[in-house]
Formats: sequence, C-alpha cells, structure tokens
Amino acid sequence: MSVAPANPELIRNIRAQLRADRVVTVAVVCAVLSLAVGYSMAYTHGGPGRVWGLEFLRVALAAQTFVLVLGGGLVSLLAVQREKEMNTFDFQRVTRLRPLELALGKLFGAPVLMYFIVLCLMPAALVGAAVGHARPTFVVAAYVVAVLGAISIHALALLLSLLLERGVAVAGGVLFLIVLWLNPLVAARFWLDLGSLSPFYASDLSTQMTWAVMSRPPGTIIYVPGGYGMTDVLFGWPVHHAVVAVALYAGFAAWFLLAVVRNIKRDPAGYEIFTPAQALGFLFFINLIFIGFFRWSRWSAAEAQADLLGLNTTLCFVLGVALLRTRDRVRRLDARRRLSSGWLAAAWPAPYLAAGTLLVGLVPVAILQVIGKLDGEWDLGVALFRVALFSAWLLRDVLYLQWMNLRLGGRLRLGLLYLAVFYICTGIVFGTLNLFGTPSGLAFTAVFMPPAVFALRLGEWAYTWEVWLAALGAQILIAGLFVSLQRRTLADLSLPGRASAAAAGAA
Amino acid sequence: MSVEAPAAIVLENLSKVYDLPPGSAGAAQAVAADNLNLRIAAGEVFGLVGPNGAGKTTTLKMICGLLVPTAGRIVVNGIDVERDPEAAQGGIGYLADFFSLYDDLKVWEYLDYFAHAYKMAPETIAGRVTEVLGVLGLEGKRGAFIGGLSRGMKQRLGIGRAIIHDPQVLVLDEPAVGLDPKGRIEFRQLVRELNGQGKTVLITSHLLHDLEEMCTSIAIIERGRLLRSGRLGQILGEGVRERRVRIMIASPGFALVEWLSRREGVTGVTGVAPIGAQFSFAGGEAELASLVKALVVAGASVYAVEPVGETLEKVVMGLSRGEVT
Repeated sequence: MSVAPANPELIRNIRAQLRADRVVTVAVVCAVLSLAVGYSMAYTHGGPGRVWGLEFLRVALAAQTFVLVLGGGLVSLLAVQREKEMNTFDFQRVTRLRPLELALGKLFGAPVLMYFIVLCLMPAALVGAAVGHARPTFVVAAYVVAVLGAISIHALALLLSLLLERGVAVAGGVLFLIVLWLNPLVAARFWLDLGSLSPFYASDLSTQMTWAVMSRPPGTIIYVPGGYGMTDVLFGWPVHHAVVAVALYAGFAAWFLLAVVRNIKRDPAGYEIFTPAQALGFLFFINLIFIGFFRWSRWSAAEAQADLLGLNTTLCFVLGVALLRTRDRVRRLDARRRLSSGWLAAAWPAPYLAAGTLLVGLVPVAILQVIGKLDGEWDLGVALFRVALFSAWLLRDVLYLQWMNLRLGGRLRLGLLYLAVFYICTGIVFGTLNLFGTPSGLAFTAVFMPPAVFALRLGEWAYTWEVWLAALGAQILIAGLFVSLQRRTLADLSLPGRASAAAAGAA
Repeated sequence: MSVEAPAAIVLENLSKVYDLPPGSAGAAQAVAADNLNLRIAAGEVFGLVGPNGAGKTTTLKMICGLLVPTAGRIVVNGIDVERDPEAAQGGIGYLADFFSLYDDLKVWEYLDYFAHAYKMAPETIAGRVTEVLGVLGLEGKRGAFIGGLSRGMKQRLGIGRAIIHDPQVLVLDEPAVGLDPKGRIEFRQLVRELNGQGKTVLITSHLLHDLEEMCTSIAIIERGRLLRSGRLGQILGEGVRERRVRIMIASPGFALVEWLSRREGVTGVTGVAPIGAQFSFAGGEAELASLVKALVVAGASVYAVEPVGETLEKVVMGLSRGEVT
C-alpha cells in the first residue's frame, strides 16, 4: 500500500506547496534569518564559542519547533475544512484511496512547507551544535521529540478539522495551541511525576549532557533547572523524560490517527470518533498514564482516590459525549434492524460509560488496597461509594445529553449550555448559602452537584451517610428519567411513515 | 426472446431522511429519497429529472458512496456500495454540481493525482493523461495552472477527472451548469462519445432540452419519490392519445381559430403567433389532408403544417404539478 513517498495526496501537497520559486524564497529567508540571529548572538556573547553555540542551537531548535507545531498545527486544522468548503473533499472520498493513505497524505502533506522550513533552519542548528560541542545523541533525540510531538498535534488538528465546523475548529485549535504553548498538563503536574509534554521541551533536551536519571526525593518539584528536570517516575522507577515523551507522543498520534482513519472517508452524518471499545481503550490508555506517573507517595489514600477521579471527570465526560448517537445514526440502525430493542437502546451509551467509569474508579482503589498505603481516613466502603456516585453522576449527565441529541433538531449544544448554566448557578447559590462548608450541607449539595463527593471524608460519612446514599439514589432516578425520555424519542423516530409526513412541505 | 441488458446501477428501496437545520421553514425533516427502486441498464444515458430539492443530488451522492442511505441498498456494477465502497468507487466517475479544482496545480498534475488516487497502473498514467487531455481539447493547457483556466475549461477538466480512470459508470450532477452554448454542444457530443464507448451515464440537469437530446431513458422524481421512469420515447409518448397539429398561414385577417373550431374532429384549438393555430385532430392522414385542402380553398395561404410532439419539459411539468403533496 502506498502510504509513504508514492502517496498521491502527499505528492499533490508537495507539488502545490513546494514550487521552485517558493522553495528558493523560503530557503533564502531562512538563511538570512539564521545569519542575522547568529551574528546578533555572537555579538552579544563576545564571539562564537561553546556558550554561543549551545544558545544558538536552542534558539534554532525552538524556532523549528515553533514552525512545526504552530504553523503545522494551523494548516492541519484547515486541511479538511478547506477541502470541504471548496467541494473538493468529496472527489477525494470517491477515489480508491484507502482511509489510511488519505489520512497519512494529509498528516504529512498539509504541513509539508513547515517541514521544509525546518529543513532550511537545520544548518543553523547544526552549526550551533558543532560549535557548542552538543552531544549528538541529544540533538537527535531533541529532533525526534520535536517531530513526534508535532505529528501528534497535527493528528489531533486533523481530527478537529474533520469533525468540527470551520469556526469552531479554528477557535478550538488556536486555543488548544495557546494552551500547548503555555505547557499543558501544568495542573496535572501537581499529581503526576511527569515532565512537560510540550514539544518545545526539545530545545532544553538538545543541550543536555547526560542520560543519567536520578531518584527524586518525595515532594520534589518537577523541572528544577539542573536538578531532576529530565527524570519522570513511572510506577516508582525513574525514567528519562525523553523516552517517556517519545512513547506518549507515539501513543497519542496513533490514537488520533485511528480516529481520523475511521472517519475520513465516511459520510459526515455518520462520523463516530471511536467505536465504544476503542473509546474504552483510549480511556484506559490515559489512565495508564495517570496511574503510572501518579505521585502516590505525596497524597493520602483518600486524597489520591479523589484526585484520580477528578482527573478522570473531564475525560469520561468527553468520551461519553463522543459516544452519543445522532438521529441520523439511530434512523439507519433502526432501518437495518441493528438497534437494540426497548430499554437497552434507550440506555445508550450507559453500558459503555458505566464500564469505563467503574473501571477507572475501581483500579486506583485496588492499587491502594494492594500497596497498603492506607491511613485513618481510608475506608473501602466509602471509597467504593465515591466510585459509585462518580459513575452515576456522569451517567446522569451523559444520558441527559443523549436525550437532547435525539430530540428534533439535535439539541446537543443547547444541552451542553443548559448543563453549564445549571452547574454555575447551582454552585453560586450553594456557595452563597455556605453549603459546601458543612458536612451535612456538602452531602445535600451532592444531590445536585455530585462532584462534592471528591471532598467526602470518612469522619463526615459516619453521620451524613443517609444523605449521601439519597444523593446516589437521586442520580440513578434522574438517569432513569432520561432513559425513559430517550425511549419515547426513539419510539417517535421509529414510527413508520413519520419521516415522510414530517417532511411534507420541506423538501 | 429479448435479452435484458445487465444492470449498471440498481437502487433497492432506497430511502434517505435527514434533519433540516434548526430554524428552517416548514418541517424539521426532509425526505430526499423515499423508497426509490430503479434499475439502470448498462450502456444507457439515463437522465434523473426533478425540481430543486427533489433529491437528485442526494441520490447521486448515495450511488457514489458519499452519503449513507437511511435504508435500502445500492449496487453499482454488481458491487454493493455500502459494503465495499472503495471497490464500487473504482468503477464510478463522479462530477458534482458545484465544485472547485486545485488552482495551485497544473492541468496535467491534477489528472495525474486522480489517476494515482484511482490506483491506475503507474505505467499507463502518463499516456492516459495525454489521451484525456486530447478528448477534452485541453492539450494546449497541459502545463498551465488551473487557476488561470476559464470556467468552461475548468468544467471540462472536472469531466476529465471523472473519466481519467476509465470508469464504466459516469455520475454527472448538473454538468452543463455555467457552460456557454458552444460548450453545451461539445459536452453533449462528449457524452455521446463516452456512451459510444460503452459507458453508462447517469446525469441530472435542469436543461431538459439537453437531456432530451442525450438520454435513452429518464426517471422523474419529486420529493424523493419516483414519479415515472422508462425509455425516453415511452415517457414522451405516455398520455398522447390524439394527434397535435400546428398550422401556420400568411393571410392577415383570416379567422383561423374560429374556422378550425367549426371543423369535425378538431378540438383544443389555440392561437399561435404570428398567424397560426395548434389543435388536436382525431382523424388520420387522409382526413388531415382534406382539412388542409379545405383551408386553402377557404382562402388561407398555408405555409406550414407540422405535427407537434410532447417535450420532456411538458411531461415533467405535467407530472410534477401536484402529484406529490
């Protein structure tokens, strides 16, 4: 299968973007910029020398990463959008190009000019490396990190380009790239012994001198310059961050590419990011990162459980939303008699979401039980209750969104808006009444805002457990209500002749 | 015993329902295909006719595997489109109603790209590109950037893309849009040539006169429903129970309409400018000859007597008015 140089989509991009006149212009501009910056830095450092060389290498690599990540990210973000707008995308979809070929052609083809700019800036970086006596293995590793990191971001941008409307995709993508620039997982670094996942870290890596990893005393802050900056801790073992970054970039790129390949030649009305099984696999992949790099030693058992549930909240919610069925999909499943009957169909996507939330909730409990780092705050029953309420809460919200998405007109956005308004307003009112500040008040708020369960402590459970159980029961009841509503909506959608009647006068 | 030609395209109980954007006037859903059943024999030039919103483009896109039907099945060249879209697409050439080309590519690069994308044998591609450029009359533009081509040339290049891989089935959605009269004539000629090579052509157009000249069979759809389908002659002949005749005279002041209305076997007389009339005549050729002779004897200078046939336009208008509510 032609996925590499003979890939027609890649060749098309190379032909369109790398015309001789443009290539010459880019090369000249890069050369002039390299000379100007190099001269300026030499002047500042009192002439070329080791320090100048390493600094020049860092600057050149940072510029290359910038071009590749931000420039490449933006063009990837527009890669499919632009084709859809020009009505050329259908002509690609109707060819015999396999989804993987088309996806790879766009993944490497859309940012091909950026790769060329990186190539043009390479001499500057190599001069810096040579003069600065940088270790070749680190220079190579830095490029691997920068390129693989960029590829994973391009794959995500391509997925956004495929799935979202132009405005949303561009706005979301720019926001995402800004966050990336500001170092993602900055919050997670409080919980994880994991260094920066930003590809910009490559310029730091390029000037390192040793691959040695150092055990880190508990509580050490990550990235103290010259300290433990390049060491991550995976399941208690120190690992060089470059290795971790490469593995994670490859993993993320593979997951994003899988989603692109699954959808790129599909009818847009039938887009489905992952199959339910793949969605669960992605959830577990992320949880492997959470659990593997979690700073178990820093937190009490109850805090560790609450923090891991908290980290999983957004992830499970997003995957729940990704599993939602559209009206079009339900119609097709129904017409092909592939729609589960009765309550099972109406409970979609509860079985998969329940499996995911219970598993990501229960695995940390099992780990905490096994490693035995338990204290007076830990109680297995309360821990299991936390998992149950976490799961029921997400089921409630996702089932509500599924029902909204199946209503006439597909009201997912409105559903999300209502949900956000609900949480903001409830939070304001409960905060004003100081309900979060008292144990019984906290338990009461859980009826409406189950995230309160993250703050539940063993001492409070003893005399508020009835309210907490009522909160759990409330989530199940509300989830049941949305299942019932979804069942009615499904029945409406399945009525024979309804579509024709509803469409009269519309076509 | 006549042997039925093999089917190039088969639609079985095809349905497509979709939601209209929020805020759309009228209903919230539209039915683009409503239990369509159609069999298009290999070698036909088949016209799909209907008003805007009838579901023509959606049907064509489903045939090409670009849209998934809500229900039903599509078979092209014996391949189920939903089950094996890439194999089916290999035998289909598709031209959309509104499309762009890659302006930053050269003409030959564009055809070369699609030839590779359709998995043609690499050693045949250069020759095929040259051949198609010849068929399209674009040899002189081989190395030109697409951005610099005229509208008509771009349309021809779009057709070139659709035929570059020598597909057995051509699906053309409003291919004559934007073409000048000369371009339309050339396009009709091209379709005939392609059909002469054994290709099945499925075509939609609002230019019904063009379709009448090109098509061997047609189907008329409205709101996703099939109103009529069959051989063009058969469709045009349906409902014609009486001979329609037009007579033109060069005698100002002669009351032709009144004169004809008094004759036996003549009904439905209407005036035709400048001086003439159109009417239904129940008799045969001999009775018609007698009628003309009588008219001349009555003092009218007759310079034209011609039979009036049904046009596709009239048939479509007649069928679509209020047939689906």
